[in-house]
Amino acid sequence: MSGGSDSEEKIRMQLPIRGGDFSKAGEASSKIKNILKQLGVSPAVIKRVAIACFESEINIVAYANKGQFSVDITTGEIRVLAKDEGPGIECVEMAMMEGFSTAPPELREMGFGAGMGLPNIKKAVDWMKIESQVGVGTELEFKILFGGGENG
Amino acid sequence: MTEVGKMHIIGAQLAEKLKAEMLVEAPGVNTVSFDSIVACDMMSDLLSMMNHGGGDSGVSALLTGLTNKQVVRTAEMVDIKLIVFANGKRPLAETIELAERCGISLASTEYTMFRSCGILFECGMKDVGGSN
Repeated sequence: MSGGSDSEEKIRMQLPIRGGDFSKAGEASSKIKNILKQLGVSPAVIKRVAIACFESEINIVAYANKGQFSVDITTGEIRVLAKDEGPGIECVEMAMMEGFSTAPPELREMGFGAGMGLPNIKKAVDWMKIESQVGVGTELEFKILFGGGENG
Repeated sequence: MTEVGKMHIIGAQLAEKLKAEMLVEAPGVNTVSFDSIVACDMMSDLLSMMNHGGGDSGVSALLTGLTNKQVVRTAEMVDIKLIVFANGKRPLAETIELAERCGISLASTEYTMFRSCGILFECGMKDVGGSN
Protein backbone atom coordinates (compact mmCIF):
# COMPACT_ATOMS: atom_id res chain seq x y z
CA MET A 1 0.00 0.00 0.00
CA SER A 2 1.29 3.47 -0.82
CA GLY A 3 2.16 5.69 2.09
CA GLY A 4 0.68 9.09 2.78
CA SER A 5 0.66 11.83 5.34
CA ASP A 6 -2.09 10.06 7.30
CA SER A 7 -1.13 7.67 10.06
CA GLU A 8 -3.09 4.91 8.28
CA GLU A 9 -1.81 3.45 5.04
CA LYS A 10 -4.07 4.27 2.14
CA ILE A 11 -4.84 3.20 -1.39
CA ARG A 12 -6.68 5.75 -3.51
CA MET A 13 -7.94 5.19 -7.02
CA GLN A 14 -10.36 6.47 -9.61
CA LEU A 15 -12.02 3.98 -11.91
CA PRO A 16 -13.98 5.37 -14.88
CA ILE A 17 -17.21 3.61 -15.91
CA ARG A 18 -18.72 3.98 -19.37
CA GLY A 19 -22.50 4.29 -19.59
CA GLY A 20 -24.27 1.87 -21.92
CA ASP A 21 -21.27 -0.43 -22.40
CA PHE A 22 -22.36 -3.77 -20.96
CA SER A 23 -19.35 -5.58 -22.43
CA LYS A 24 -17.17 -3.85 -19.81
CA ALA A 25 -19.71 -3.83 -16.96
CA GLY A 26 -18.19 -5.33 -13.86
CA GLU A 27 -14.54 -4.62 -14.71
CA ALA A 28 -14.16 -1.85 -12.13
CA SER A 29 -15.76 -4.00 -9.41
CA SER A 30 -13.56 -6.92 -10.40
CA LYS A 31 -10.44 -4.72 -10.00
CA ILE A 32 -11.51 -3.64 -6.51
CA LYS A 33 -12.25 -7.25 -5.56
CA ASN A 34 -8.80 -8.39 -6.69
CA ILE A 35 -7.03 -5.60 -4.77
CA LEU A 36 -8.85 -6.55 -1.55
CA LYS A 37 -7.94 -10.19 -2.14
CA GLN A 38 -4.26 -9.22 -2.48
CA LEU A 39 -4.54 -7.21 0.75
CA GLY A 40 -5.77 -10.30 2.57
CA VAL A 41 -9.25 -8.96 3.44
CA SER A 42 -11.61 -11.77 4.54
CA PRO A 43 -13.63 -13.47 1.75
CA ALA A 44 -16.97 -12.66 3.48
CA VAL A 45 -16.13 -8.93 3.53
CA ILE A 46 -14.82 -9.02 -0.04
CA LYS A 47 -18.12 -10.56 -1.17
CA ARG A 48 -20.06 -7.70 0.43
CA VAL A 49 -17.79 -5.10 -1.21
CA ALA A 50 -18.07 -6.88 -4.58
CA ILE A 51 -21.87 -7.01 -4.40
CA ALA A 52 -22.18 -3.31 -3.48
CA CYS A 53 -19.67 -2.22 -6.15
CA PHE A 54 -21.14 -4.43 -8.86
CA GLU A 55 -24.72 -3.28 -8.22
CA SER A 56 -23.51 0.35 -8.34
CA GLU A 57 -21.53 -0.27 -11.51
CA ILE A 58 -24.48 -1.95 -13.25
CA ASN A 59 -26.67 1.03 -12.32
CA ILE A 60 -24.18 3.46 -13.88
CA VAL A 61 -23.77 1.36 -17.04
CA ALA A 62 -27.53 0.86 -17.37
CA TYR A 63 -28.77 4.37 -16.68
CA ALA A 64 -25.99 6.98 -16.87
CA ASN A 65 -23.92 8.51 -19.66
CA LYS A 66 -20.74 8.09 -17.69
CA GLY A 67 -19.53 7.75 -14.17
CA GLN A 68 -16.67 6.76 -11.94
CA PHE A 69 -15.72 5.06 -8.71
CA SER A 70 -13.50 7.00 -6.30
CA VAL A 71 -12.12 4.39 -3.95
CA ASP A 72 -10.33 4.87 -0.63
CA ILE A 73 -8.94 1.82 1.14
CA THR A 74 -7.35 2.02 4.58
CA THR A 75 -6.30 -0.79 6.86
CA GLY A 76 -9.75 -0.80 8.45
CA GLU A 77 -12.29 0.03 5.75
CA ILE A 78 -13.16 0.74 2.15
CA ARG A 79 -15.08 3.80 1.01
CA VAL A 80 -16.51 4.03 -2.49
CA LEU A 81 -18.05 7.10 -4.09
CA ALA A 82 -19.98 6.10 -7.21
CA LYS A 83 -20.72 9.29 -9.09
CA ASP A 84 -22.48 9.54 -12.42
CA GLU A 85 -23.73 11.99 -14.99
CA GLY A 86 -27.15 10.81 -16.01
CA PRO A 87 -30.89 11.13 -15.57
CA GLY A 88 -30.79 10.99 -11.77
CA ILE A 89 -33.39 9.29 -9.59
CA GLU A 90 -36.79 10.93 -9.30
CA CYS A 91 -37.69 9.42 -5.96
CA VAL A 92 -34.83 7.90 -3.95
CA GLU A 93 -37.29 6.55 -1.38
CA MET A 94 -39.11 4.51 -4.06
CA ALA A 95 -35.80 3.32 -5.55
CA MET A 96 -34.80 1.98 -2.15
CA MET A 97 -37.87 -0.29 -2.09
CA GLU A 98 -37.31 -3.93 -3.06
CA GLY A 99 -38.91 -4.70 -6.41
CA PHE A 100 -39.29 -1.09 -7.58
CA SER A 101 -37.68 -0.79 -10.99
CA THR A 102 -37.63 1.48 -14.02
CA ALA A 103 -35.35 -0.87 -15.95
CA PRO A 104 -35.68 -1.12 -19.74
CA PRO A 105 -36.40 -4.58 -21.26
CA GLU A 106 -32.81 -5.01 -22.55
CA LEU A 107 -31.49 -4.76 -19.01
CA ARG A 108 -33.96 -7.40 -17.83
CA GLU A 109 -32.88 -9.70 -20.66
CA MET A 110 -29.38 -9.61 -19.18
CA GLY A 111 -30.76 -10.70 -15.83
CA PHE A 112 -30.81 -7.31 -14.13
CA GLY A 113 -33.45 -4.72 -13.34
CA ALA A 114 -35.42 -6.64 -10.72
CA GLY A 115 -35.50 -3.59 -8.47
CA MET A 116 -33.05 -5.11 -6.00
CA GLY A 117 -29.99 -2.95 -6.71
CA LEU A 118 -30.14 -0.20 -4.08
CA PRO A 119 -31.79 -2.39 -1.38
CA ASN A 120 -29.07 -4.96 -2.01
CA ILE A 121 -26.32 -2.34 -1.66
CA LYS A 122 -27.87 -1.15 1.60
CA LYS A 123 -27.88 -4.71 2.91
CA ALA A 124 -24.21 -5.24 2.03
CA VAL A 125 -22.68 -2.05 3.43
CA ASP A 126 -22.10 -0.57 6.89
CA TRP A 127 -23.01 2.96 5.86
CA MET A 128 -24.41 4.59 2.72
CA LYS A 129 -25.55 7.97 1.48
CA ILE A 130 -27.32 8.73 -1.77
CA GLU A 131 -27.94 12.10 -3.38
CA SER A 132 -29.53 12.51 -6.75
CA GLN A 133 -30.59 15.39 -8.94
CA VAL A 134 -32.95 14.72 -11.83
CA GLY A 135 -31.27 15.54 -15.15
CA VAL A 136 -27.83 15.90 -13.55
CA GLY A 137 -26.79 12.64 -11.93
CA THR A 138 -26.44 10.55 -8.83
CA GLU A 139 -23.83 10.28 -6.08
CA LEU A 140 -23.84 7.11 -4.04
CA GLU A 141 -21.27 6.75 -1.29
CA PHE A 142 -20.81 3.72 0.91
CA LYS A 143 -18.43 2.31 3.47
CA ILE A 144 -17.65 -1.26 4.52
CA LEU A 145 -15.56 -2.04 7.60
CA PHE A 146 -13.04 -4.85 7.32
CA GLY A 147 -13.55 -5.85 10.91
CA GLY A 148 -16.99 -7.28 10.19
CA GLY A 149 -19.21 -4.23 10.85
CA GLU A 150 -22.88 -4.44 11.66
CA ASN A 151 -23.74 -6.28 8.42
CA GLY A 152 -20.74 -8.60 8.57
CA MET B 1 -19.35 -31.02 14.97
CA THR B 2 -20.58 -32.88 11.91
CA GLU B 3 -23.52 -31.29 10.19
CA VAL B 4 -26.09 -34.02 9.51
CA GLY B 5 -27.15 -34.30 5.87
CA LYS B 6 -24.58 -31.82 4.62
CA MET B 7 -23.27 -32.90 1.25
CA HIS B 8 -20.01 -31.90 -0.39
CA ILE B 9 -19.22 -32.91 -3.93
CA ILE B 10 -16.55 -31.90 -6.39
CA GLY B 11 -17.36 -30.34 -9.77
CA ALA B 12 -17.00 -33.54 -11.79
CA GLN B 13 -19.44 -35.40 -9.49
CA LEU B 14 -21.95 -32.58 -9.68
CA ALA B 15 -21.72 -32.57 -13.49
CA GLU B 16 -22.08 -36.36 -13.55
CA LYS B 17 -25.30 -36.25 -11.51
CA LEU B 18 -26.79 -33.87 -14.08
CA LYS B 19 -25.25 -35.78 -17.03
CA ALA B 20 -23.74 -32.41 -17.89
CA GLU B 21 -20.99 -31.76 -20.36
CA MET B 22 -18.10 -29.73 -18.94
CA LEU B 23 -17.42 -26.83 -21.31
CA VAL B 24 -14.82 -24.97 -19.25
CA GLU B 25 -12.92 -26.89 -16.63
CA ALA B 26 -11.16 -24.30 -14.51
CA PRO B 27 -8.21 -25.35 -12.37
CA GLY B 28 -9.44 -26.46 -8.98
CA VAL B 29 -13.02 -27.33 -9.94
CA ASN B 30 -12.38 -30.92 -8.94
CA THR B 31 -10.62 -30.09 -5.70
CA VAL B 32 -13.05 -27.47 -4.41
CA SER B 33 -16.10 -29.01 -2.76
CA PHE B 34 -19.56 -27.65 -3.47
CA ASP B 35 -22.18 -27.72 -0.75
CA SER B 36 -24.94 -25.41 -2.00
CA ILE B 37 -26.84 -24.59 -5.15
CA VAL B 38 -28.44 -21.39 -6.31
CA ALA B 39 -30.89 -21.66 -9.21
CA CYS B 40 -32.11 -18.51 -10.97
CA ASP B 41 -32.21 -16.54 -14.19
CA MET B 42 -32.21 -13.10 -12.59
CA MET B 43 -28.73 -11.91 -11.72
CA SER B 44 -30.30 -9.32 -9.41
CA ASP B 45 -31.82 -12.22 -7.45
CA LEU B 46 -28.50 -14.05 -7.41
CA LEU B 47 -26.74 -11.03 -5.91
CA SER B 48 -29.51 -10.67 -3.38
CA MET B 49 -29.50 -14.35 -2.39
CA MET B 50 -25.72 -14.41 -1.99
CA ASN B 51 -25.85 -11.24 0.10
CA HIS B 52 -26.74 -12.83 3.39
CA GLY B 53 -24.19 -11.35 5.73
CA GLY B 54 -21.23 -13.60 4.97
CA GLY B 55 -19.67 -15.97 7.43
CA ASP B 56 -20.33 -18.99 5.24
CA SER B 57 -17.39 -21.10 4.21
CA GLY B 58 -19.13 -23.23 1.59
CA VAL B 59 -18.86 -22.98 -2.16
CA SER B 60 -21.93 -22.63 -4.35
CA ALA B 61 -22.71 -23.68 -7.90
CA LEU B 62 -25.21 -21.80 -10.07
CA LEU B 63 -27.93 -23.37 -12.20
CA THR B 64 -29.30 -20.99 -14.81
CA GLY B 65 -30.82 -20.60 -18.23
CA LEU B 66 -29.07 -17.31 -18.93
CA THR B 67 -25.99 -17.61 -21.16
CA ASN B 68 -24.56 -14.09 -21.54
CA LYS B 69 -21.25 -12.98 -20.06
CA GLN B 70 -22.92 -11.03 -17.25
CA VAL B 71 -23.70 -14.41 -15.68
CA VAL B 72 -19.97 -15.04 -15.33
CA ARG B 73 -19.31 -11.50 -14.08
CA THR B 74 -22.02 -11.87 -11.45
CA ALA B 75 -20.73 -15.31 -10.45
CA GLU B 76 -17.24 -13.87 -10.06
CA MET B 77 -18.55 -11.22 -7.64
CA VAL B 78 -20.13 -13.78 -5.33
CA ASP B 79 -17.43 -16.48 -5.57
CA ILE B 80 -19.44 -19.02 -7.53
CA LYS B 81 -17.00 -21.48 -9.09
CA LEU B 82 -19.28 -23.54 -11.35
CA ILE B 83 -22.17 -22.51 -13.62
CA VAL B 84 -24.45 -25.18 -15.10
CA PHE B 85 -26.71 -24.17 -17.98
CA ALA B 86 -30.01 -26.07 -17.94
CA ASN B 87 -32.24 -27.11 -20.87
CA GLY B 88 -29.21 -27.92 -23.03
CA LYS B 89 -28.32 -24.25 -23.40
CA ARG B 90 -24.81 -23.37 -24.54
CA PRO B 91 -23.04 -20.18 -23.51
CA LEU B 92 -21.93 -17.52 -25.98
CA ALA B 93 -18.25 -17.46 -27.04
CA GLU B 94 -17.64 -14.27 -25.01
CA THR B 95 -19.13 -15.99 -21.95
CA ILE B 96 -16.70 -18.89 -22.32
CA GLU B 97 -13.78 -16.52 -22.79
CA LEU B 98 -14.59 -14.54 -19.61
CA ALA B 99 -15.13 -17.76 -17.61
CA GLU B 100 -11.67 -18.97 -18.63
CA ARG B 101 -10.15 -15.66 -17.55
CA CYS B 102 -12.00 -15.65 -14.22
CA GLY B 103 -11.30 -19.30 -13.39
CA ILE B 104 -14.98 -20.24 -13.37
CA SER B 105 -16.10 -23.62 -14.75
CA LEU B 106 -19.02 -23.99 -17.14
CA ALA B 107 -21.18 -27.03 -17.88
CA SER B 108 -24.34 -27.71 -19.86
CA THR B 109 -27.06 -30.24 -19.03
CA GLU B 110 -29.98 -31.40 -21.16
CA TYR B 111 -32.10 -31.64 -18.01
CA THR B 112 -34.60 -28.90 -17.26
CA MET B 113 -34.02 -26.50 -14.39
CA PHE B 114 -36.76 -28.29 -12.39
CA ARG B 115 -35.26 -31.74 -12.86
CA SER B 116 -31.72 -30.51 -12.21
CA CYS B 117 -32.80 -28.90 -8.94
CA GLY B 118 -34.66 -32.06 -7.95
CA ILE B 119 -31.64 -34.28 -8.55
CA LEU B 120 -29.29 -32.03 -6.59
CA PHE B 121 -31.79 -31.61 -3.75
CA GLU B 122 -32.23 -35.38 -3.55
CA CYS B 123 -28.50 -35.91 -3.26
CA GLY B 124 -28.33 -33.57 -0.26
CA MET B 125 -27.18 -30.26 -1.69
CA LYS B 126 -28.47 -27.32 0.30
CA ASP B 127 -29.82 -23.89 -0.50
CA VAL B 128 -27.54 -20.85 -0.24
CA GLY B 129 -27.91 -19.58 3.28
CA GLY B 130 -27.99 -23.09 4.67
CA SER B 131 -31.44 -24.70 4.47
CA ASN B 132 -32.29 -27.97 2.72
